[in-house]
Amino acid sequence: MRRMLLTGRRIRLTGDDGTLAERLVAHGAALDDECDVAVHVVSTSTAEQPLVDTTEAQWAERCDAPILAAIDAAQEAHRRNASRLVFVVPVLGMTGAPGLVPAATAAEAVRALARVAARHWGPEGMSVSCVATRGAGPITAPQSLPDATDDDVAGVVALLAHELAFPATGGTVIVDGGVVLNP
Amino acid sequence: MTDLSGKTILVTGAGAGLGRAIAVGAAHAGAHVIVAAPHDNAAATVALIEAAGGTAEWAPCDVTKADEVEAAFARADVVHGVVHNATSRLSNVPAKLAEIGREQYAVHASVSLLGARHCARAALPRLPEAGGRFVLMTSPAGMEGSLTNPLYGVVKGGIRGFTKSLAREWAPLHHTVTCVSPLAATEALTVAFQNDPTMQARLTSRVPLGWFGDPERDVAPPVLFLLSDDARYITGQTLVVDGGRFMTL
Repeated sequence: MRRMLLTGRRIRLTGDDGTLAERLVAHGAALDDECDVAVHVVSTSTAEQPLVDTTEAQWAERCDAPILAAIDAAQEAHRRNASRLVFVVPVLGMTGAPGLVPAATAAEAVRALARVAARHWGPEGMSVSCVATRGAGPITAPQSLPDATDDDVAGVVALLAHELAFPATGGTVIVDGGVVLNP
Repeated sequence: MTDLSGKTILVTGAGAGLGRAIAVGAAHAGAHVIVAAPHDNAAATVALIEAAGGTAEWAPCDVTKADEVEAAFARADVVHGVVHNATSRLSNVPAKLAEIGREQYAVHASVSLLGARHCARAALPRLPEAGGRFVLMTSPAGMEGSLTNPLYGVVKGGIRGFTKSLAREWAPLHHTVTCVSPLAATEALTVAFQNDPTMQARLTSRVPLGWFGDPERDVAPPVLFLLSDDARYITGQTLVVDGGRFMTL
């Protein structure tokens, strides 16, 4: 029987295709725009294409749009006095991925946004974290664990959405089966 | 000393500050330098280089415009190394994260990110078959987050994702792509110190080596190394040149 980590927590969830929503509800969360916690899933293009072949319109769609959506989500979380902000990002920004330069640029920009938000809004009572998950991109080392499932990712998001995770701010938890082990 | 003899190096944002220091250093190391910058302070960079016996040319270039970037690169058949150093006019303008909007984002991103894309596209056909060098300047703001300039921190963080992915993409061609995060005593910082007399001591106390990097003596040389043949096995990395301030990579 899974513990209801998020009973009583109100979560504003953006960028999700429904995958995370049902799992956070299963953890006891109530999805509500008037929130304690904001979670934003960063959606990046998986269309592989050499950088030199990308058009400016594709660059705007694959790089700028995800960054702007993340900024919007962060500002809205701040306006609604959320005490916690969690970004779910593809790990490919940390590993690099050939053919996915705009997406990887966006992913790292959002992780930087998390650090910026942590510094800006910490004194106002908000903490910010990222969860980096596998998706498109290279496997750079043998996995230590099986591939992370949607349940696994949701579980870590739930942990970070719990009030006890408040002091952890500005950092990234990688949920990819142990492929990326940062120094 | 790094040897760049016989090479052509293009530096964006080389009209002043760190970009100028890198351009001057590259010329001193023997390179012909294309000073890619939009304003006529680039002519002063060229004059400095020529006065020291080097060779350089000014390519008027706004990196947000693909055609101007292409024209700057077209000044040479082969460009051995590129440094994308340009940053937006808002880089030193404080802002609040809660108040930033689309217009400010566009100003920052069009120079740092879209400009990087334009430079990469223009560079690729001109990089040497034996392997070229593409260096991007990030910032402590991108590594640690900026309290005063949120969008500067965001786009400089994005530069690191750009670097790692392009490094993988171009590795089969033996072109390297690297990133430098400098802590430099720029003109803007000097002005900030003058405006706030306590600021220098406060910030310097956070640098283990005890000083802010001199653009010419401390920051340009590692960039020049990354442009050299000796750096051919380094790609996708961020070299932190900051007197030991950031050690948590």
